[in-house]
Amino acid sequence: MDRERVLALLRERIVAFAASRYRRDLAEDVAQEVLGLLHEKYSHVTEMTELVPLALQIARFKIMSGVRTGQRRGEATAIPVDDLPLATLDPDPAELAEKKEQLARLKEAMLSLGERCRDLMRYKLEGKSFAEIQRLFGAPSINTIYTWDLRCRKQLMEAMGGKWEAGK
Amino acid sequence: MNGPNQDPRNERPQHLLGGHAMGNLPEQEREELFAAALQDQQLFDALMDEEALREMLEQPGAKRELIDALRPKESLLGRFRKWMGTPMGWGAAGAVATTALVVGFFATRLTQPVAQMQMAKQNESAPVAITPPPAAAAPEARKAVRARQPEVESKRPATVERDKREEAPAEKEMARNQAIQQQAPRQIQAIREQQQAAPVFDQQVQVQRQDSQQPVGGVIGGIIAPPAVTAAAEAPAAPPPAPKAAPMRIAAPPVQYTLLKRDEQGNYAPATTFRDSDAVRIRVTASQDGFVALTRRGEAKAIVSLTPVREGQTLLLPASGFLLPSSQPYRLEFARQIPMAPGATGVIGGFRAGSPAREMKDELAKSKDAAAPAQPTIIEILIKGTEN
Repeated sequence: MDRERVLALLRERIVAFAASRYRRDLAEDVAQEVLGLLHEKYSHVTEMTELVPLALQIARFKIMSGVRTGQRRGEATAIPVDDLPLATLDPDPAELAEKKEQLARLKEAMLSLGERCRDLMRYKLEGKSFAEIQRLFGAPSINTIYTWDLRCRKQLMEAMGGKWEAGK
Repeated sequence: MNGPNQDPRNERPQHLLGGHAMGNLPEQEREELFAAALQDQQLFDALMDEEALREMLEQPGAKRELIDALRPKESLLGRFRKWMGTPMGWGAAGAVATTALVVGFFATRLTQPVAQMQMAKQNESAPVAITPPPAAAAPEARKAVRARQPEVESKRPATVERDKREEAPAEKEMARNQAIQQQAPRQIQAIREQQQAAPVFDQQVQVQRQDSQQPVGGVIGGIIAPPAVTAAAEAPAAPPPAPKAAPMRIAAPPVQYTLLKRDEQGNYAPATTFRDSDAVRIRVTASQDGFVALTRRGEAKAIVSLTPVREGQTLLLPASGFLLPSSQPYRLEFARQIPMAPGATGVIGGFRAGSPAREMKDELAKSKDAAAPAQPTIIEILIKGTEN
């Protein structure tokens, strides 16, 4: 799949995602900004396995930034996205503290899981592939591991209140 | 859902979603997941949701922190086993084993003086001389004693003692002393009967309490039994054999002692009780030629070292100065010969501390027992003092 085709698909997915979760106008703007950055700043990135995660990361950043600005200014006084200031990519202290709290929540939630889920999460964090995890557990099929992972992730998400991030 | 995930046969990308945030997908699976996400809006949305988790885990040290928290807690035993597998564990085990060996060695060595003290106390209540009892379980020792009975009657007791000492291995002395201690009550009864029949040394022998609470004075030979006496005493209690025509006689005690206390005029007189500040001397009367020395337990330096003494001679120890009551017993040592050979057995504190002078060697040479091996006899004298 060539780069142009990947970018076109990315735009379509980002707009759909942002529109479903936020506002339609914000979705278009976010997609536009993501593609602009990928063209201007990351023109050397051509591989799909690099482009997709990069686009996901930028899109998330832009969406969160727009949401924060909207909350700060109030929905009634919404302004065009063009007027939003370009924020630095470095996290501010409040953001760092927030991430630290989120990590603590995640840790607490992981420790509340059953023994098998805790082991599974640990293996994944250690970078072991699903095939390796299958061998470690001695599971008859890799689909067993996929099923366990799906259940464990669901339990983890529930333990964290239904979403990875609190208050967003 | 649009895209390939509508096909139930292709659910694998959905499963790979769980590996995206954790970062455990190989390149091929990543490509598979992203390609599917570009075609499947639902998968893409799920991927976007996972972005928050991935970002969280991308923080420096976050994964390590979670891995450590999720690692199963090892039991104390498991950690100990793991630690024992390390060189430090081996080193610690070696150190513990060495310490145990050293402690065991010294504990064994320290039991000897304690056993001597115990035996001395056992005999304190029995103002008798010890006669070896018959022993059923030690026929050899009994035979040896019987074979020597005529000789015993014709010889001086000291000579009998010397002869039997030659036969008694020094390393068994400790065990024999303990055997005597165990059999003391039985022996005392037998001895009393013999005393009534044919007292031999009873007029000379006095065994007194050594804790200075009882009448003062003592006999080394009656407290620390010499090997001649203990040779037959190590046998277990057994019915006495048929009475002989001549009763068994024991070796004469080599030395007697009396505790003296200095009075207000500076004169020394026998005493039974002492205060902490009392000046004390020990009057020693030898019934054999030999050498005496005085030490105190736990001290390497002798208080009185290697003093020759003749049969019937009386000495004051120390000749000048005095002793003070102490919680550590004094050790009065007597030997008929100076241990001259390097590494000779039986060398004890007082004899080790001093080197024999020429006159002492002359005394030794003159001694008719010069050929006998040195087997010092030790008596521990505990002089307790009361507070002033």
